[in-house]
Amino acid sequence: MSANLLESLIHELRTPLNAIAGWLLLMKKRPADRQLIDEAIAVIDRNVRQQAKLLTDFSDLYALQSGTLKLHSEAVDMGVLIGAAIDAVVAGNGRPRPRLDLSPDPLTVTGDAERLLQLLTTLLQLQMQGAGQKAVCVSGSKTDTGRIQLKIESGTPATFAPAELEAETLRVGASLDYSIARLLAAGHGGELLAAEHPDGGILFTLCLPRSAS
Amino acid sequence: MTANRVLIAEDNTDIVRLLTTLLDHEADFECAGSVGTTGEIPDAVESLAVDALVLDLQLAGESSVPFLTDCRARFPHLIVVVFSGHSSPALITEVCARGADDYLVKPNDLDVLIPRLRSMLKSRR
Repeated sequence: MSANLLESLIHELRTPLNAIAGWLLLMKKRPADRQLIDEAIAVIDRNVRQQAKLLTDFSDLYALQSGTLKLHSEAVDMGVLIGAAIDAVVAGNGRPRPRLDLSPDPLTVTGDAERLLQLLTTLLQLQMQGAGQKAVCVSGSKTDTGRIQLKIESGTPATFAPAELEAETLRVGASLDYSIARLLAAGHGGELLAAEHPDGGILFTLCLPRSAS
Repeated sequence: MTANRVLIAEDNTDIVRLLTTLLDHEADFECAGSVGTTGEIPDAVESLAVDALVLDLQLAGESSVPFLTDCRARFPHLIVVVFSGHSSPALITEVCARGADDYLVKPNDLDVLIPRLRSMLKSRR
C-alpha cells in the first residue's frame, strides 16, 4: 500500500467516524427531540455501514498483498458473471444497462466466482461514476495467447484519470476499490490496466488465463 | 443579541447537516449557509454576511489549502477554522501559515468547535 493510499484511508475512516461522533453528541444535547433522534439513527447507521465496508476492503487489500486471501478454484464463465455484475450495478439506480459485445464462445476462466464478481462490479461502478446516463460498453473475447480479455469502457470523460488510479492518489473509495480489483486480477494470474480512452474516458482492460478445460 | 453567522464549506452532506444542527442549537450562532467547493466561498461570504468560515480541507476531491491564502487576503476579518480529517503536523503548520485561525481535527475536536468559534469571534470584536 502506498503512503498516498494509507493517508487517504486514515482520512476516509475519520469521515464516517466524525458523523457518528457528531450525531451522538447531538443526541446527548437534545435527548427529547424525537425527530432529531430518528435522523441521528439513520445517519449513524449509514456511516457505520460505510466504515464497515472500508474496513472490509482494507482487510481484503491486506490479505491480497500478503498472499493470505484464499481464492477458490472453479470454472467460471465470465460472460455469465458480467451479466450478474451488471444486474448488481444497475439495479434501482436508473442508469442505462451497459452495452454487451461478447464473443459467442464461452469465456471460461478458472477462479473464484465471488471474487471475480467483486472485481467486475468494481470496474463497472468506477466506470459508471463518470458515465452518467451514457452507456458503458463491455466487450469480451479470447486472445491468441490463451487468455480471456475483457474491456470495460466509456467515452465519457471520467471524474478521475487512469494515472490517478494507478498512483493511488484518489480519495480512498476509488483508489482502494481499484487496488483490490488489480490485486484480484493478479491473484487469478491475470492483469488489470487502466488507460486513457481515445474519447476522453477510461478504458479498463482485464486479462485472465483461459480455463484449460 | 445578534447571532454569529457561520458558513460551512464541506462536501459531506451528513457533516453539513450535523454542523448546521449544532450551530442552530446555540443561541448565539446560526448557520448562514453551506457550500461544497472553494470556488463558491467568496460569493457566499459576501452575500450571506458571514462572520466565520468552517472549512474542510478536501472539497469535491480538491485541496482547499491554496484557497486559504487568497481567502485571508480578501477577507482579513473573517474567522477561518479548518475542520479536517487530516492531522499531519506539516499540514497543520502550512494551513495556519496561510492564514487559518484554528485547525480542528475530525472527529476528536468536534465538541470544541463551537467554544473555539465563540472565543475567536469575541476576541476579534
